[in-house]
Amino acid sequence: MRVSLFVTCMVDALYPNVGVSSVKLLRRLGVEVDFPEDQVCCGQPAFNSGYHDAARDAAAQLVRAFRDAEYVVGPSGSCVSMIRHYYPALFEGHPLEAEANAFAAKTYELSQFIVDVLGIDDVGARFPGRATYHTSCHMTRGLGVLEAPLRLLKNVRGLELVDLPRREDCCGFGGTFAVKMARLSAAMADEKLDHVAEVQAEYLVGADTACLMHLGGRLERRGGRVRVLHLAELLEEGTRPGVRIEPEESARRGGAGAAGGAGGAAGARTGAGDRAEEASA
Amino acid sequence: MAKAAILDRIDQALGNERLRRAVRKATDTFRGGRARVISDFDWEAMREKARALRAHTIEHLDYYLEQLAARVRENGGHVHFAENASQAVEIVRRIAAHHGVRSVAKSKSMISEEIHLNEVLEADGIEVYETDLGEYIIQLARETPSHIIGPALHKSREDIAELFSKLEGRPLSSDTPTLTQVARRRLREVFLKADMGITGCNFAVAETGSIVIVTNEGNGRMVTSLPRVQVTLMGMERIVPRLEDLDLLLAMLTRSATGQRTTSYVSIVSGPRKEGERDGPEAFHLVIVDNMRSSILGGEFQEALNCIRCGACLNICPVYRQIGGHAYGWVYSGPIGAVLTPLYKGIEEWGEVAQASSLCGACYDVCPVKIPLHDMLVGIRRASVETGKSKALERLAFRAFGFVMSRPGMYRAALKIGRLAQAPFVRKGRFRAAPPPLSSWLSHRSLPSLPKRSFREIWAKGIDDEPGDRRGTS
Amino acid sequence: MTHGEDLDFGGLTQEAFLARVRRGLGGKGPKSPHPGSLIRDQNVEENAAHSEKVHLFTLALEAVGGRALRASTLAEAYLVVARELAGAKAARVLLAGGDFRKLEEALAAAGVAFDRWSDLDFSHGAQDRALEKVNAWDAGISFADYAVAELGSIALLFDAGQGRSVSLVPPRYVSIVRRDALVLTRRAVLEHVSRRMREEGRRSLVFVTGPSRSADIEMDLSVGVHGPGELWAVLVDE
Repeated sequence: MRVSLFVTCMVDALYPNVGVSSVKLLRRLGVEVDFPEDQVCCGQPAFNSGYHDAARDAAAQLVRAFRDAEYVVGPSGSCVSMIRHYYPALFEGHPLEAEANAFAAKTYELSQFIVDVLGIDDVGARFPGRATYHTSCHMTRGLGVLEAPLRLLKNVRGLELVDLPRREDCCGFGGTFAVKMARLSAAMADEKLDHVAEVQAEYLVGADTACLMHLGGRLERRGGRVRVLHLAELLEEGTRPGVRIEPEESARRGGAGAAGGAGGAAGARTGAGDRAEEASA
Repeated sequence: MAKAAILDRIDQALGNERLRRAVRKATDTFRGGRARVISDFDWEAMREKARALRAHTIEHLDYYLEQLAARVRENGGHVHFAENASQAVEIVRRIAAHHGVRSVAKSKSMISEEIHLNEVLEADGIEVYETDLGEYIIQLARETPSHIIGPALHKSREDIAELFSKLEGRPLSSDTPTLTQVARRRLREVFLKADMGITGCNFAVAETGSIVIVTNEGNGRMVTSLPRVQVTLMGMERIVPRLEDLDLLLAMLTRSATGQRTTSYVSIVSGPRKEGERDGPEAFHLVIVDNMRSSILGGEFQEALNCIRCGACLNICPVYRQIGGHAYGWVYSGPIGAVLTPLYKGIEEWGEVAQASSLCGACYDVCPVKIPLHDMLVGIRRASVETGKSKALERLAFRAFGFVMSRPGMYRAALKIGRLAQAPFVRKGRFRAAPPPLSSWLSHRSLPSLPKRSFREIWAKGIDDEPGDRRGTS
Repeated sequence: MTHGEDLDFGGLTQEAFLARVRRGLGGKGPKSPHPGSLIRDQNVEENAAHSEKVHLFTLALEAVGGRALRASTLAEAYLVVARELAGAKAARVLLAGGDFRKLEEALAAAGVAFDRWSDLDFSHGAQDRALEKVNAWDAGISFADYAVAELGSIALLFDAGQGRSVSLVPPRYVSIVRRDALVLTRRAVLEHVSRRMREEGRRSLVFVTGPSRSADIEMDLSVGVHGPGELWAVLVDE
């Protein structure tokens, strides 16, 4: 099985280790990954701000870049939602209409792909700690993907997953909204972060780097010992050699792995936007 | 400039902790109530039925309006048609003059807020009394409503006690029963003596020529039973084909608005009193108002006319939650307000209201008639851009965006330039300062800098497996 | 009433107004039929047993703060009403038009005075409408035209006897619900009323569900704001 990675411009430029984690994780699950180099951006920032011609230009490039892909997988609920939901209408009457529709039909968010296409909801990860999951709006409402990431997280050994109160309330990123209405956007982040503190989570996990950048950025100003990380990063760290629960080991121990093991998973690394060593050389 | 105004109002609201607490309390109560009662039914199936009914009705708006007018006249009522606010106001003034009206008792009407009716009647020397408790409170306070269902939710009981104490000329305690008794006693006199009742209209039934008023307090009944003249103001889109259709729409309205299976009163008035009745209006006037609604017929925003004014979108909106209703600047607030205000009052001046949204989509999720409000907000932003009046810098920025993001080579170059350009502003992986608009981000959040290598550069060098890594099979 | 007379008050003619609407709609595409609005199977109404309806009605009414009383016969109902009113220290009540002789006897025996709606001149400015007169009533009493079990609602069709003010102005409303007035669904009532509007020239009605209420003061519940603060429904088996 081979997938083409849609890395998204935000991950590519700002959080490359989310992309690296996605690749390593998919490989461990037996998937070959390629990376069409001509990809850039889904166009959502322009689309949401009303600049639909600019959005279409960016989107057209993306459609072309993935022409030959069989499956397209991206670590972003909001970008994938843009593609699946809005590309058909955006390309109505356009020469690329048929390809855009085909592209929309073959593009998946990472957790959605792992659970719904690969049929795997336990990647054999071990990641001790207390975590809460941020249900980003475009992924949950737009894409309708809520169960997949939760199932993956519930099966992580040693991970105490607690529900985030009022999880359906938006974190306040909203694209250019975060900049145009910065104080309002920060007020929404504050409510969200108050809930994270309320449940005493050590880790805030999400599937959308935009939300994580916004929440993590606000968290750094407020202070707090919460590590903000992407689902791909958590699962990758949790399945590194030495950390991963092997099938035989799982059977011997009766299924539930004990906490512990090496790997940089646990611990008090705080601050948002932590990037892997490769990136800060 | 309207844009500066909305940003100021938002800023003011964000600084008003008491307002924010009151808004949270009210919306949480409505939201919780709604959640409890929608499980009575297959709610999604009901939403689709309600949407289909509203869409059908709007598609045939001319047909049903014609039927409504004919039935009301058959029942002995008068029907008037107002193109805009000033015509509507003039019609009501003339009705009042015709019937020698000196005092008016009003039940809630959003249309009357749209057209600023009260001030005009008062200038004519007519006493106008709002009788919905929330509207009565804000009338005394000389304010506008801040929520469709709870117009005075921004007022504390101390605020209300102060208002009522001034009225009574003596200090009053701020407990609910005391304050309620004052309103009940004072308004009872008004109901019994007022010459004219002015009402809004939740729905108007075409087949029977009836207007429908939904209340909990009973003021809607009072003003349609005791004054000798009744005037009902109706937004033309509030029409419903058949009487039995009300069962579905009332079910959706009351559950979505306040979490009630039904309200205390649903009044259905089909013209003046019948021969032999001892109460009820002797004369009945229905004023059907357009006021920009026809401007969105036939276009991409037509579905906004499905709205049954339940307020559920306000209660779920994370933005409304932070800023309340007044910040939106007009009588309709929250997501529906952010859509209707630019459409009815002009995109050029009011388009900015549609920016007060993170596009989370919760409004669409709760709308009982499935208006795609989140998509409409993007549509209004697009329409704003198409007027050509958006900020030049922003237009330039997005033009550059479209250019760069469709050319991989340009994008890679832009990243390289970005890494160089950011250097003076960056320390330890974070921006310490930045030019606008990034400065707005930095005012409240830290911002990571561009790392030395992008993902595609890492990929180009090769992403190796960890030592001991095993690729699975699938 | 012709269109011409309405024009004296200003505004557009009906034709001009509708022309704007038609222009907006643009006469696009084939028109769709009414999509229907049933929210449940029609059969539930026919199949509902009286005892089930009584039970549902009672639950629903009590849930909103109303009071449900029972009586096997109309005669018993009158005695129950008179006794309960006397127990609540009601001094004077307002009776809707209609044959209430037996009720009047029961009230008199219980020491409760009454006025008859049909005897009043309730027109605007009339003496019977004076505040002191109106405030003397402790309850209004009428028959329910319909009662809706699924919601605990009473439906009143206004006419010469069923005065609007009877169930509205006094601080308590007592509704006598005969067996055949009790239906399961609101839909059934609306369908009946629609037909009666066509065939009998009925005009206006109200659905009353429990006492008057408001939450406009800091979301705190007040009862008895403008309408009655108490609602009693007497469910009669005949």
